[in-house]
Parts: sequence; structure tokens; C-alpha cells
Amino acid sequence: MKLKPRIKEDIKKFLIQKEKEEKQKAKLISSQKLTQEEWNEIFELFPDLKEKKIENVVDENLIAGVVIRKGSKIVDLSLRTRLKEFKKIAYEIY
Amino acid sequence: MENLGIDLKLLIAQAINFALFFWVFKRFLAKPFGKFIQEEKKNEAEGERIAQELIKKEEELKAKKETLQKETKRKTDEAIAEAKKAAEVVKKEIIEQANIEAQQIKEKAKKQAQEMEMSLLQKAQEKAVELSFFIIDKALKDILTPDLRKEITQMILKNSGKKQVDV
Repeated sequence: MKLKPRIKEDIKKFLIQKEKEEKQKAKLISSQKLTQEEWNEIFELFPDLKEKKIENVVDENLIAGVVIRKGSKIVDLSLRTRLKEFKKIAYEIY
Repeated sequence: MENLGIDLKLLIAQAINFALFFWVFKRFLAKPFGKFIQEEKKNEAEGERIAQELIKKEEELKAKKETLQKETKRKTDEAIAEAKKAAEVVKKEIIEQANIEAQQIKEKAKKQAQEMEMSLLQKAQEKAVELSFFIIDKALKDILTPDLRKEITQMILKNSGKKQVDV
């Protein structure tokens, strides 16, 4: 199927805009609501987050720690993931 | 002669009559009949000879038949003995093959049983790990107080800082 050049251009613009918007956004999932002290520690650890619009979601299943999602990148610092990693090691041992 | 009651003319006529009769008899009856009898005798002798020959041949054939029967019996016995020998060999081979196959099946079954055992053991171990971590997960969720969670979060963040996490 051949697209008209104008539609092609519109899609390209829309995707670039979307990418820009996504770059400005970040999602932080924590096991409980974070204190200012914890936020500061996170910003200290990830300085580029200061410039982003952060959406904070509380998920008790994490047990402890945080998960940061920025675009397609994910930094998982949760106790649940640590446990899962430990579980993988246990499987490998057996 | 007349006194004796013999008529000479009649005698001569009878003699001529007899001679004629004799000549006719010899010429037309006795010769073919004799020939016929000779022929019959000859035929009879030939028949006898043929019969004797046939009897002789029959005896020969009988003897031949007996010889053949004996030979056939001998050959049959030999063939049966050979067949028995061959059957014995085949039987032995079949038994050996069956033993090999049985051994193979046994080994295969043993291997399968071992594999199954290993698989079950592995599954059991996996289940044990799964269950252990489920219990740990549940226990941590239930036992950890918000303060402890905070402490752990801070500890993770500090440790991550040392590792220089890149977003």
C-alpha cells in the first residue's frame, strides 16, 4: 500500500512529537509513598530525572525499593526483583 | 465185386467225389484254416511273450518303484533332518534376537525410568524453590512494616548508588 507523501509527513511529525513527549516523561513505581528524603536520594542517583515529569505509582507487590521507567529503559531496584534473581540462582543450583 | 455188393462205378464216382472234395477242402478250407490256426498260434505265442515281458517289466518297475521309494524316503528323511537343523538354527537366532531386544527394551525402560525420576526430582525441586519463594514473598509482605520497607528501600538505593546505575 502506498501512502500519500502528505500523510507520511504527518505520521513522521506525530511520531517525533510523541517521542519528545515520552522523553520528557518518567514513571516511578515504589512499594509505598516516598518521603522527600527518598526523592532526594533518587534525584541524587538519577540527576536527569529532575528535568522529567514523573508519575509516581505505589505497588505493594514490590515489597521494598523502586522501579524507574524512562522510555524503553527500566531500572529495577525492587526487593521483589532481587528475590526473583535469587530464585533464578536457586533454580540454576538445582 | 458185385457179389460183395460193391458197385465199381459207384466206388469210382465216390472216389472221384472224395478226391474232388479233398482237393476243394485242401484248396479252399484246410489251407486258410491251417494258416489261421498257425496265425492264432503265433499270436498266442506273441501274446504270451508280451505277457511274459510285461510281467518282467512289471517286476522291474516294482523293483524300481521300491528303489525309488527308498531313495525318496532317504531324501525326505535327509531333507527333514536338514530342515530340523535349519529350524534349530533359526530358533536359536530368534531366541538370541529376542533376548537382545528384551535387553534393549529393559535398558530403554530403565533409562526412561531414570529420566522420569530425574524429571520428577527436578520438578519437585523446582516446586520446592517456588514454594519457598512464595512463602518468603508472602512473609515479607506480611511481616515488613512500613518503616522496615523504607529502610530496605534506602539500603537498596544506597547500594545502587555505589554501583552507578544508568537510566
